[in-house]
Amino acid sequence: MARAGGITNAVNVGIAVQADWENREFISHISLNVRRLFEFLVQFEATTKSKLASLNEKLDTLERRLELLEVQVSTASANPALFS
Amino acid sequence: MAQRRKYAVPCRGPGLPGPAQPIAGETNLGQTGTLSLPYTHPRFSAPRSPITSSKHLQNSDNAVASAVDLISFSAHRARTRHFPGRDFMAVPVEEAIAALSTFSLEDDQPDVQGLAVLLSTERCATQSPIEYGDVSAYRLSLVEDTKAINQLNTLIQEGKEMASVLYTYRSCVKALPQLPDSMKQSQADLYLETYQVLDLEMSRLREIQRWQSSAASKLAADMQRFSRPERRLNGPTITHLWSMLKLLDVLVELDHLKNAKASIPNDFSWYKRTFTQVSVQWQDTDSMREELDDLQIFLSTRWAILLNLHVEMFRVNNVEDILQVLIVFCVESLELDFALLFPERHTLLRILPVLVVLATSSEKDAESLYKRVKINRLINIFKNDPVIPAFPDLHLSPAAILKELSMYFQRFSNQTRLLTLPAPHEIPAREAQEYPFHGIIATRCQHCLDLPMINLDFATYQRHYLVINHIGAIRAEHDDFAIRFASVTNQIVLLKSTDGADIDWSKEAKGNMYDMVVEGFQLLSKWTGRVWEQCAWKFSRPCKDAIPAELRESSTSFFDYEKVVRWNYTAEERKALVELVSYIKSIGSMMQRCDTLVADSLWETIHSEVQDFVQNKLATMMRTTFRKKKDLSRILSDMRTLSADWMANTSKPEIELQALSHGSEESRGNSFYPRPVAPTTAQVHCLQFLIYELVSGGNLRKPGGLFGNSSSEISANDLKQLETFFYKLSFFLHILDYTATIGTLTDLGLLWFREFYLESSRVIQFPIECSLPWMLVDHIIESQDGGLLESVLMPFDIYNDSAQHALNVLKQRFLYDEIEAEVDLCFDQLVLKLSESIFTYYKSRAASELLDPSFIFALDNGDKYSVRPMRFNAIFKMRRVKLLGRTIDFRSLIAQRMNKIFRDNIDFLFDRFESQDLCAVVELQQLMDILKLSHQLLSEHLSIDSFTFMLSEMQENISLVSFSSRLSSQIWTEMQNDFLPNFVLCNTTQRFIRSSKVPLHPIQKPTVPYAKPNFYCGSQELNTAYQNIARLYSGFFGLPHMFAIVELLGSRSMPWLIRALLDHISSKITALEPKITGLQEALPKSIGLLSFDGGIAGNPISKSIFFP
Repeated sequence: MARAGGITNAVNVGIAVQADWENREFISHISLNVRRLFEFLVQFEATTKSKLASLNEKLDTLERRLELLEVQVSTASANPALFS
Repeated sequence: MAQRRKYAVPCRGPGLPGPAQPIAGETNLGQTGTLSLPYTHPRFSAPRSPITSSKHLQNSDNAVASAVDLISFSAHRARTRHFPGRDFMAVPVEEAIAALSTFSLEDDQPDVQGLAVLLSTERCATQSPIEYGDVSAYRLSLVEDTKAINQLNTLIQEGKEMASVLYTYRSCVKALPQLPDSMKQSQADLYLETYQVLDLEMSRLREIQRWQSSAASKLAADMQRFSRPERRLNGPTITHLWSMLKLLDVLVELDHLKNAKASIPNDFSWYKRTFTQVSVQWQDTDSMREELDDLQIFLSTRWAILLNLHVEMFRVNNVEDILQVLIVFCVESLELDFALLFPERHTLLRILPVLVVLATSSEKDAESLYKRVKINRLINIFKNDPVIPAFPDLHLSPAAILKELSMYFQRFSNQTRLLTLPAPHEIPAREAQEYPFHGIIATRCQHCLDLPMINLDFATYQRHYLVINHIGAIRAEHDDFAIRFASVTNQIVLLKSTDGADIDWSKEAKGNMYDMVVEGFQLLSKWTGRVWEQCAWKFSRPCKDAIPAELRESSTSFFDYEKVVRWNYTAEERKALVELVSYIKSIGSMMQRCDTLVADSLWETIHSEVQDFVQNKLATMMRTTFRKKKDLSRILSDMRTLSADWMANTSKPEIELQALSHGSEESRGNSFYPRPVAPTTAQVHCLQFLIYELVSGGNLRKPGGLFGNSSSEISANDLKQLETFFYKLSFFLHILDYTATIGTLTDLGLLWFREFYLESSRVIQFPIECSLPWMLVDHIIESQDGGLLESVLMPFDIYNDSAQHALNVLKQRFLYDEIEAEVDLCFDQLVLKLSESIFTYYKSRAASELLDPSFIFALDNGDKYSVRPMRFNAIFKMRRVKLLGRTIDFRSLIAQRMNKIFRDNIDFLFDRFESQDLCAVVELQQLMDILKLSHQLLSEHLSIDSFTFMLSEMQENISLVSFSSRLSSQIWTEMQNDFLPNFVLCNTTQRFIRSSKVPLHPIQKPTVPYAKPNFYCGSQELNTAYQNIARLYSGFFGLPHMFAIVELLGSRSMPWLIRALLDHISSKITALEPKITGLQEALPKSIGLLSFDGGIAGNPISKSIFFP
């Protein structure tokens, strides 16, 4: 025996369901876009990190080269007599 | 529902100048408690005042909505500057979000890592976030059922926490200190302290004991309530059945854990002993003692939880019906195997034997069960999966469970057919060569469905369980899927960028997307299931004698864990596993990355599927099959009421309504307005319930299965449709939980966990060589397989998964700490080993390029000097490796290491030269050239310090004012001490050769330092080749050596050397000069011509030169 059926107030429920679909369209739209926003931020962070890392690499190289130059200059300037 | 406008309240923004506000439809849904928001149909591009919306939003504290309001408001402000006349115009959210895509987010990092981090792991659809609170809105009288579901779900949650406490339980006794003899007087204090420590742990066990008894009684009560034949309640719904199964699973898991963990009774007996010691001074310990005895009985009784549950269930004798329904449900779902993801499948497999035992143990005859489910179907299921994963390192086997339980359940012990199933270790090995498997093609298990008692022998199982036997098919599936998924994604991108796209095309593209996602989930589920199953199989068959002989001698004993993991995977199997892990991870991250891109397409397709079913198919059914059956057609119309979205069908709502009321026979293939909204959990739940009611007639005792037998009431075709839709519905939920599903399906954290083996091996932790993730990484590096190389970071994602599991599921800090420690170690090892192998590769490539091509060409076996190309490019681009929530710049680590290795190598070459004589300068130059070329090759991909920079650093001639260097001074010393005194020029060959005279002072040299082959030329063959070349130059000093010196010293130190040599010669001459003068003086002033008969012919000319 199927006793399960029987939504008590079918018309009202139907109307409510209809309205619910429409409201949820709004909600899912908003939530999806918020998620897109988050995703953007995450991706932005990731790419920015990469870019910073490559910048860091270049700076590192430069720094080391500069260090070398500094040492060379210091050896030269330590005994200026050589250049006079 | 055409009266929607009646509910639309026109509203106007307060105090806003300008044109009248457009009507915002506002529907009030007070009765269902649904959030009401201003809504304009059909799209959000319709003008809406931000102020109006914010007013409406005041009622709700929906943070999301207000956030978006903020977006639209700021966008509005931005826009009013340009369009002052249209200040009511809010920028649509979509436009604002789309503006973000103008940012350049390009990144040349390849995807050779897993997902590592998930933005959301919340389950919204599969586990209703509002606990099915909205079910009541559908007025289906499911209040009791919903309450029961929520109760069971809470219990499941609690039970899982208990299970993780038990799984991660580690013995405290081992850590307890022993008192030395000198401190025996404070023994009592130690007892007290021990008692306090143990008491904390034991209180947890006590809690588990209490919880299981209450959970069992609640579950039993629930089953009894919902299986009354007279049925005053609606239910149980499918969700409810699932909750029962899951709770049962948790209870049985707890039992398994309790049985398997030996440390718990150990700790308990220690605890009891300390309690007797401590409690002598206490009064009134009787109740505590009683409690202790209770706990002892609970802990020492095997299957205490299940036995208790059994007693609770059969207190009232009417749960057989629902047990049978559960068994039918399990069997049908397993046989269909469509809508199940692997965790669900494993749950069903685990619980089915227990259900069978429970169902056949009652007073009633077991025959009634077999009337509904043929015993062969059960045996088939048990035989097809002789090993079921339960915990990461504990497998179960249905046969063993049945056998063991038969001792506890007397009635069940009659079921001889179920009891004669072979346990996994008893499966006969038909193949003589047991391991690894090289058998002939055995029948697949699936093929045996119709021949139940066919001999499924060991080889077949081996074939079924080992990934290696499927990897070919998996590879093909992966490639095929990846291509098709990418193409469908491109379609979606194209669709989104096209304005006013064709509806059919858009529907097709979105439908394809949906299909691909379903396929992807099924593939991922299958693959990850395979990993679990292979692990379980491996755990069930520890390796016996595959341990290499040399290792067996060196250490006498092995951990059990080594036998099941370390020596249990052959190289081929490791390779297959690496591949499979990479496939799972890469497909997972590919799908995850387009999450927000495809979400609305998926919603739309699901929406249209549901609408198509309830609006079209149901209508047809109502007109045909169910026309005469009022009660059944009421169920159908309820299904429509609770999920139909009539308004979405904008084209002809009126016609549809009429059709509904008049039941006209007009054929309809409605095309729906695509609304990107998915049904809620509650809707899916109610629909499933109604379909189940429809086919079962609401009768638990109805013979046959769910959709299995052809009921006389419903035609086979309709039944098929209902069945398909029923299983689709349960899959919808997984799709809606897109991120969470991907998270579950790509979670391979199981490969790390080893709590049971840790306990039985009595160690704190195993070395990393036993750890499967590291074994995989190590295999990739050691195997030098160019194809695997890009997967080298994939196994590290396993650590991410297991760390996540340890923190969020098991909630154990110490496990996380252990994982972290292992990851630290492994990652260091990785960087070390990988940079070694990169260096070796580039070194051998340079060496092989510098070899004389005509020489290689003339050789028969010249191949051995060529180097197989490898691509490290992807690894060099990894600037951010995600590991345990940290971001690591992998590239810079490799570059650092490379800088160090190059310097070490230069240093080594100089050391080597210093330990040899000057003739080795040609070899030095060769090796230096190779190093230089490999540096040049490597620096195309990696930014490392320039070679000259490194060379001058290692030569110690950075200074601007000094021209000597380590090398030049060495050459000079050699010349001074060895070359000039000991070498003579051979005029014919124009070479200096070592004179045969033994030097007076033998020169002390350091011994030749040892280095790995990659510090010479890379591979062993190339080393031999270059050594042979160098040997040709090692015996003399000639022009090639001079060229080498000139080359090596360059213009900077060469003058210094020449100067030093000249100085040396001039000092020699100066030193010689007085001696010559002395000699001259000692000679007679004039020497006359010797007499002719002296024997020498005089030469007047020479005489005239010397003695003018």
